[in-house]
Amino acid sequence: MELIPVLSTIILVATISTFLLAIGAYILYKIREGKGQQVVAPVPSTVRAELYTPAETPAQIPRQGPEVAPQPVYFEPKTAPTVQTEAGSYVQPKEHKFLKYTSDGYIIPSKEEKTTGTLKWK
Amino acid sequence: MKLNQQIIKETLILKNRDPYSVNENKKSKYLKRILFSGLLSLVLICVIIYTLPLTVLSYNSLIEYAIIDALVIFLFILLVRYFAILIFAYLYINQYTFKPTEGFFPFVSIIVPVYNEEKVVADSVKSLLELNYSNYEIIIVNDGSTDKTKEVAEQLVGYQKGRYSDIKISLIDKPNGGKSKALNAGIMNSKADFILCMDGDSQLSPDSLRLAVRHFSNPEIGAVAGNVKVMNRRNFFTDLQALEYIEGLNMARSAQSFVSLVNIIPGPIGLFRKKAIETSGYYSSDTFAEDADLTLKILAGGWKIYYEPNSISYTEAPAKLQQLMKQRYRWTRGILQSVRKHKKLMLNPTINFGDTFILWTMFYEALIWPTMNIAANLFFIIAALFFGFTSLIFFWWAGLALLDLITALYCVTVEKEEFRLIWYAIIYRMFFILVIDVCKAMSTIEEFLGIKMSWGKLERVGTAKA
Repeated sequence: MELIPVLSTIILVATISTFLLAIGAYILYKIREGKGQQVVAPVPSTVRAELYTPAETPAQIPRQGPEVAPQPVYFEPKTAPTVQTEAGSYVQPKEHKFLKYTSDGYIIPSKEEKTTGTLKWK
Repeated sequence: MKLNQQIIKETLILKNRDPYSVNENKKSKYLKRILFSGLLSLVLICVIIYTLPLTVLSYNSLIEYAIIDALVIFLFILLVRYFAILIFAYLYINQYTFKPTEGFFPFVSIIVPVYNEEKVVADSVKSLLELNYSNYEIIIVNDGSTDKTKEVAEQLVGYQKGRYSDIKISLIDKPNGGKSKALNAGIMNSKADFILCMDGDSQLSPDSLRLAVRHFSNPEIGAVAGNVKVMNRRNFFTDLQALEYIEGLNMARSAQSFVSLVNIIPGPIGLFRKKAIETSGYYSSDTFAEDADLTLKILAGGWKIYYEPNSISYTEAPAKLQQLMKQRYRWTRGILQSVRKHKKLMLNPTINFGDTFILWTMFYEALIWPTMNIAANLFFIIAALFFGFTSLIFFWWAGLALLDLITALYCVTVEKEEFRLIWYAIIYRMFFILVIDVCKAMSTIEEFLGIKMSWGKLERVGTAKA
């Protein structure tokens, strides 16, 4: 048996079936849509809506991302924290390059600690 | 992760009517149209009956010649259309690859309109928080949902941790009025110069916003269309739609983008210059394809529209034939309504030639092409059943399947898509396109007769993840 007539018959049957399926599906869709038809209410000129928005606080400062991330226009650089003195005036604390880790956490190493001690490594 | 903060609740008064809607007596208009076309058809039949005996043709030969001529014209248009789209799409991809633009990062508002999307809205917002961009906000617009969408959205309001910054998420809760009004409410409450409109059930890829927004460094660009992909695959119908989105929609969009005249900015992802939306008169709700309508209005305003293939939005496609019919019915009627709305531009190329060209291609795709495809298939069925030319239908199918297979291979390669989708090209035209074209033809008849239609919400499963 030749291949082309067989394939032709298959395609013919498939095309006719597709037509019937498409028309059937469309009619079914229209019937289902028709059942759900509702009366359209008149449209008012304005409607009331509610807006829920977060209050803008200084805490919402954007974090800096890697180089690929574009920088926002409203970005504010972080400033060093300030400490209060007895007189009530605010002074900038002295920045330390290196800190020492102890069981109480990070502390500022004093000059004495650097020079005294039993063991010295070179 | 949500940060601790105070949520402010405000009351808004939104305009609920279209600025350009016109009240007209539609019933008499459609009656006139039916009468006119009926009379015209009668006149044509009379002319044929009275003039045919004066020629050498018989009735049978007239029908044969007419069918053969129609088929030759159909085949010619099909091939010209195919190769024109392929060549322009190829030129666009070349242009896109070798002319990259970077370094434009303005503040963007992302508008997420939701209506009964309780299952998917959280996933959509989650995908937005993963964007590779820092300068944006999210505005969710609840369009009077009847399920728990409002409650889910309310939980999302606040500053949430994004990829590079804390992202502000707001919610507008309004009574139901349709997608266009929901989008307008979001746009009007945005303070950004650039607006990204998407669907409530869509999820964006991390680079989508960064890659789309860079095109606005060109002041002539009014909008950028993104690339829509099917999220819920591994189903016969959704796989076929995945191929259709790649081969049928994205390739055509690439071709249109070569001349910066994209005809439809898809609902799941479209980035706009706010000025372009404002000058075009916002989204209208007098058509069922608000995205096509706004695109045409933006083009008519002299703006250019570009396509960004790497701005991807994953959307849930209809998984059942019934739902697919519902979607395509709305698309077809909506496009025809938009074309009819801009018919002045269609008939007068001196106003805006680009718009006229785009409107004619839309008219062709929505009306002429489906009619031709159905007629061609009917011809082969009749030729096989009544005249015994069974092999004709095989050669017709084999030729089209080969053409579709090659196109699918090209498109899948360009988009780095799943290779398995290529095999669907074998049944794509003879099955899928035929079903869609029957639906398009029926929708066109209904639009012509002015039968009332409703939006028809698609049922979302919410199980698919990007």
